[in-house]
Amino acid sequence: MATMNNQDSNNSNNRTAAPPTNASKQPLPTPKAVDTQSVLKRLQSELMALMMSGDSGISAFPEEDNIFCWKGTISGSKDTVFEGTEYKLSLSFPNDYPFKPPKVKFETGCFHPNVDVFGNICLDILQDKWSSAYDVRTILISIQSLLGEPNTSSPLNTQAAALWSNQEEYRKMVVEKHLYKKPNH
Amino acid sequence: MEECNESEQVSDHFICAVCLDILYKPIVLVCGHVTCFWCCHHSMDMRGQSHCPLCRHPYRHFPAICQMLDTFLNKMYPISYDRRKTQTLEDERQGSVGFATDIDSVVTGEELDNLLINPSTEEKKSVDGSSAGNCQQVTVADMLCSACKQLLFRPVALNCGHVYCEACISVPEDKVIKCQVCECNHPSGFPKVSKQLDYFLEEHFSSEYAHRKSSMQQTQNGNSLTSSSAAADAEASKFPYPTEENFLQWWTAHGSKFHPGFGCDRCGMCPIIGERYRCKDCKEKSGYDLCGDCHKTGSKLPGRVAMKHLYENLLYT
Repeated sequence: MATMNNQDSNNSNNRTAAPPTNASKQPLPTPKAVDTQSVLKRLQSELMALMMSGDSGISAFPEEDNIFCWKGTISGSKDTVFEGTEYKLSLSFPNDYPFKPPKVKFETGCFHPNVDVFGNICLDILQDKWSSAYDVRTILISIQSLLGEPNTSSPLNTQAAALWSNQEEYRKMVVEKHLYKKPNH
Repeated sequence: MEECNESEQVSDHFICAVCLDILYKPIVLVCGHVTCFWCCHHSMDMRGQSHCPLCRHPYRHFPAICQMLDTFLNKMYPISYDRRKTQTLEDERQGSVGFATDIDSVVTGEELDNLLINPSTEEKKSVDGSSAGNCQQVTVADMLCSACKQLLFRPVALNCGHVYCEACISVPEDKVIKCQVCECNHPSGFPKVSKQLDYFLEEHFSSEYAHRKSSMQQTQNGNSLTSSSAAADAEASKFPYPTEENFLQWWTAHGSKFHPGFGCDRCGMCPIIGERYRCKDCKEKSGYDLCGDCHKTGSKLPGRVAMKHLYENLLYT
């Protein structure tokens, strides 16, 4: 049972008397080739579940022409400095989703310790803590709760992290930045 | 094919959390969570410790397909199951890894040959067979414990895919649970009750389940489920996985015994740590590998991935 080819070099078997032959090579091109069809199917099920669930404060839909790219929105939770704000995010799904996480970015500027100026998010479940049982809904809920509970120990935005302790000032900053970044309103 | 007129309402208990479809060729992890064979396989970390997609419970052995659940789901939801079968066979044919098998299919080795030579025969069979179209009534007989032969009560599955009542599993002195059906070791510690399956049993066979429950309570003599996780822990300490901090140290001690990307086809240990034996005359890309312990036992069981193979004459490199 084997699924990949490239890692075999460092454990060549020392019990073999014969010199290594080509037969022991593992000619597998893509380690985890998952059929695109199954990705489509999974994204469709997610979309349906998301529409039926009626969660308040989060939503997401695929872009018109590409089901691998979604636009999501989350609103800041009540009783946090982000209350009343709304953020747009983009989610782009790899071909081996859900075995690899989607790339998630803030499209709306977000003044937050774990979000950088380009909208990149530092959240473990979108990186090494990803699990194939996560879905768009759980990602958006996680990001929504990240807003109110930042991890200030390893910030991407040091200014935001420093200001976090002063919630009153922070709130002013959020409101100011939020209005500034929404020219249409 | 049949997607548009599929009318079966699959119970939430049997939806795989990874593909969000009906479980197909289910495997039960030691934490009791159930996923499809391929969903689990794709979710695994072939280079290190794998974690349950649902609860992150670490595991190092890829379980074999749970034959009982497989048969049961096929009976319960024949249309959906058939659709999944067609899809999965198509994926497997295009994919590079091979066809999923379960340990019990050792008796059907010939069918596997047919599957590989002429993959359409398997499909035809399923259409001819009684499973297609007419939903058979599932009975208690489909959900029996491998040991007490009664309706499963608080079901747990061993690594080999055989299902028992929690109380029917005894932990021997050496702390390594052994399956009574196939005599495979269960190396992952005491399995947790599969809640999904348990809820279903309680719902579907409510009177029988209640009966089992009351009789269990009478006989229960505080059966101390001394977790055999000690054995799993002992194994873990024998062959630890590297962490970022200790990588160099780890590499000097265990590096040469670590076979990333290769899993044992008998016990499912993945990646294989320790000695690795690889079949020399396998034509399949996925190959057939055994870990040191399973090689000693002399496995004649089919691998996790089907191959045209005589299990009697394995040659190893």
